[in-house]
Amino acid sequence: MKTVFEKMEFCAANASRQEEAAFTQTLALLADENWRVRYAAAVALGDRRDPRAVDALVQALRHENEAPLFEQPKLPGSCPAGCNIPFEVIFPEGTTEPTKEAWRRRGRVIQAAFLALGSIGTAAPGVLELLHRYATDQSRDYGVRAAACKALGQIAAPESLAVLEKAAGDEETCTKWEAKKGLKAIRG
Amino acid sequence: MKKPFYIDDLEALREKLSRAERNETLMGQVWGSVLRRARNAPEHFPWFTPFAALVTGGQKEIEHAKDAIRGYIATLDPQGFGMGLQFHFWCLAFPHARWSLYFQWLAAIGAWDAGEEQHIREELLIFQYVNFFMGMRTKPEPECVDNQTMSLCFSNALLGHLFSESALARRMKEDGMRRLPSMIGGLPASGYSGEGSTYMDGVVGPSIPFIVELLERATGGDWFNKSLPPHGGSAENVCRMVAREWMPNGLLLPWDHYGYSIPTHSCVAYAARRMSDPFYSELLERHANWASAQGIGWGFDDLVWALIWWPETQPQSRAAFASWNEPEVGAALVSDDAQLYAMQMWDRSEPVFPTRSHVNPNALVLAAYGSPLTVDGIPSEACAAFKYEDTWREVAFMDLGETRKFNFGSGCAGSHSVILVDRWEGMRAFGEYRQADQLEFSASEKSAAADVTPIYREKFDDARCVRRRIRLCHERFWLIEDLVRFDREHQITARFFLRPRPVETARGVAIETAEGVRLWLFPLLGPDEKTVTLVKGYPDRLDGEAGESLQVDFTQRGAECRWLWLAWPEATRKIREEVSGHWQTAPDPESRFSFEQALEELTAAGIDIPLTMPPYLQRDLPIVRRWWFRRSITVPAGVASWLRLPKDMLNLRLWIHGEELDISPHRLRMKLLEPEIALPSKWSGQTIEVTLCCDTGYSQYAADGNQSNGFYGKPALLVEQPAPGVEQAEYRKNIVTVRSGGKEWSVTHSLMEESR
Repeated sequence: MKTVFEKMEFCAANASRQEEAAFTQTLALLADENWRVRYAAAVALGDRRDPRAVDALVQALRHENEAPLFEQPKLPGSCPAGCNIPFEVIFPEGTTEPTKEAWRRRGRVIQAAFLALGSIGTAAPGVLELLHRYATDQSRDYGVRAAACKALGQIAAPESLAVLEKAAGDEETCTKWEAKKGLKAIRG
Repeated sequence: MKKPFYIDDLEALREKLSRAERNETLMGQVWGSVLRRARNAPEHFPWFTPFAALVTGGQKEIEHAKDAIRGYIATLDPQGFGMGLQFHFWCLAFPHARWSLYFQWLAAIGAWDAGEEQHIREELLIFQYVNFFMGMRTKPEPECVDNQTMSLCFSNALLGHLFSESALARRMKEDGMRRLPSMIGGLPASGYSGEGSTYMDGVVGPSIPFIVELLERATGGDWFNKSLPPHGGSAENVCRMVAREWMPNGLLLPWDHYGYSIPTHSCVAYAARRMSDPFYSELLERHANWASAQGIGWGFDDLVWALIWWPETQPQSRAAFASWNEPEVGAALVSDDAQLYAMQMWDRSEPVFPTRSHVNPNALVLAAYGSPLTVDGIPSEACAAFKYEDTWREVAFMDLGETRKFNFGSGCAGSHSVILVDRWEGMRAFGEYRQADQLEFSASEKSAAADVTPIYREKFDDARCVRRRIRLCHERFWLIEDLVRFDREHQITARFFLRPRPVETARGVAIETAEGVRLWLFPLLGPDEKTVTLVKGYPDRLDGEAGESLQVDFTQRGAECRWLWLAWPEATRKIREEVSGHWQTAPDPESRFSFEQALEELTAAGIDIPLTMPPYLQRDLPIVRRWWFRRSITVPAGVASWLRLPKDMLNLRLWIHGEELDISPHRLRMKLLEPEIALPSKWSGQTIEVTLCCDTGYSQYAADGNQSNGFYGKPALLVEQPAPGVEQAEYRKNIVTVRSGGKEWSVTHSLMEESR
């Protein structure tokens, strides 16, 4: 298992297997240097629904939180959707490769980790705090806010009511719908 | 070796196209035009190259296709920094699915070496997983049913199916396939998604064949005809609605967002394959604009899929445009000769922010003799109208680090041909409820009516009845009736958006379009108190420099307000002679010929061709942007004359005997309609030499505006014809009487009442 693709394949292939070694390996891949692998690992851990993955997911989220994910300015260089004409993006001077990787992934790993936490459904320490913070943070992408709301609905902890009520007024539809579903799940 | 997906029998497809080419059928001509573009300008027509490679099996064509796919792969990483991938990922998901499909086609015919095949497959899968699998999981299930979610679910299901040896692919397939049926079933049973003709025709409709054929191959059974949960939508109904959005004048209905546009082909071709109704083949064979190769689902392969689905066997009978009715959304009344067309809409609008699903309760679309008479759609960016105080919105989720403030007033009632109450132009729904009910439809009587009271009652709790009925009478004119009843007095406005230009009239309002079609609109019952305002920039197409229309407001005050309108259309021109054949033509590869040089080239080139579509679509000629044409035409003596030219001739210039005419007034309009250029009277009775120069779409990603759409139409010489107008019209004792040109029509008309 050397390439990024092979590692991602491993995560997906072993998501539903109950072998301990596969679980341990997937947890390790959640800390892989390549975010695509981390994304695949988070999806797989959500599919596996093993509560033992919660700490690692929270740790992965904290790691993500330290990256400049949402600080990308609008960059010159683009092409229409589906276009096959190669083009270059002009980066500000001094943009490092880790920063580029952060910009490439924006909220993807966070979304996968949130959905995994929701799927596992455990209100472990730290989990609600993170989800509450992201659910209404307008500086995050709506894919992240919506995933936080969805996870809160799946965990269905009463202390999330206030956050979900606020998120239910989000201008963006996906977030609003997930928040409304979350409220319904908690209120019954 | 795997089969190229969706192509069950490659040899049969090859034979179908080969036969069509040999027999010089329309299908054969379209195939020829696609193949020529793929062969002669593969860098400009990348979306045609995989199909050309698959059908011909030629090494050159295969290399072109491989290069196209390699080019696409090279865009993936830089796309990661664009707001398109971050915020509008569905727009990239659908084309990604098709590039992946085309990669599979080439793999199926052994085009790749093992190393490159593995590399590209992995690139495609990783990009799909971290972007579009992510995107699909962003969309709430089962609530999200729209073109965006459809694109995402389809792309995941397709890649999952194509590359099922991969665990990532199987994971995507699991979720994509689970959600895919509800993308069809979640559409309304009418088949109308509510997003407007443009999205129906450009995204929802063309998605249907891909989805149905994938579901049928992956799970078996018939996924075309059956109604699916949760809302009973079916693929069949979507295809039917897509075809119904075609107007007899070759345009799509300006329904909800965007406005009039040119139809695509592939969904109708698929409908012709799956349904026995000969209307679909009729559209393909006699009404489609085959020089148009515009995008479907954010890619330029509409013609490819039209050729794949287009049935070789023609129906035994022909089918005319006919009236239609969809009780939940609207109805159209079409004259037997398809010259008069009216559509009344009462489809649901989106509460609170009616972005694409506009507020158009009982709005009307009228067209006559090929000319649109009413307008609808969206304003140009510079348009100052419709910025109502209560329709501003600011959002932060559409762009990188920026908020967007915009006014959605153009989606509200005030920008539509509807009834307004107390001048509330930003009228819209705020809650979910049934907004309208159809009252009547008769295909034989050619009448339709709907009650739209609920959307008024939400704001005005004394609203008892807001209804409109339209009738096509004697195959000659329309009657439009409005009934508005409240418990208290209100100011009621019947608003119409008509095309310019106004014509002087003693009653109501009258217009004459640039195509010489007149419309008189005046009340036979109800006050004729009105204002007429020129709205610059609305819609963003057709007339004027940047679009314009006439906003006509008839007003009255009362608790009960009625109007009965006569809408009388009249053509003031007729075709004297078709002049589409025998045009000398010459390509201008560098776009820099002077008029004199062009004349020399026209003589030297010796090419004689019909002026119906770009020459390179007709024959093996260079694929260049600029072309010159020349032909002699005899102008009739003693009558006003016009030269009708194909639509979409970009940057058209026209000379008569070397004297240039000003074409600029036609510039915007001719994107959609064939321009009719007045011939100066000094040429009356003479044979004139007409020289034309125009640009045409020559590249799917050309930056100069027209992408790959070519000009299209049949040049003709038109002359004036008598148009007497309405000499007398009245409504008395339940009878409408109209006199024009010495003829009289009468029709019984009982007024609508509050009870059904």
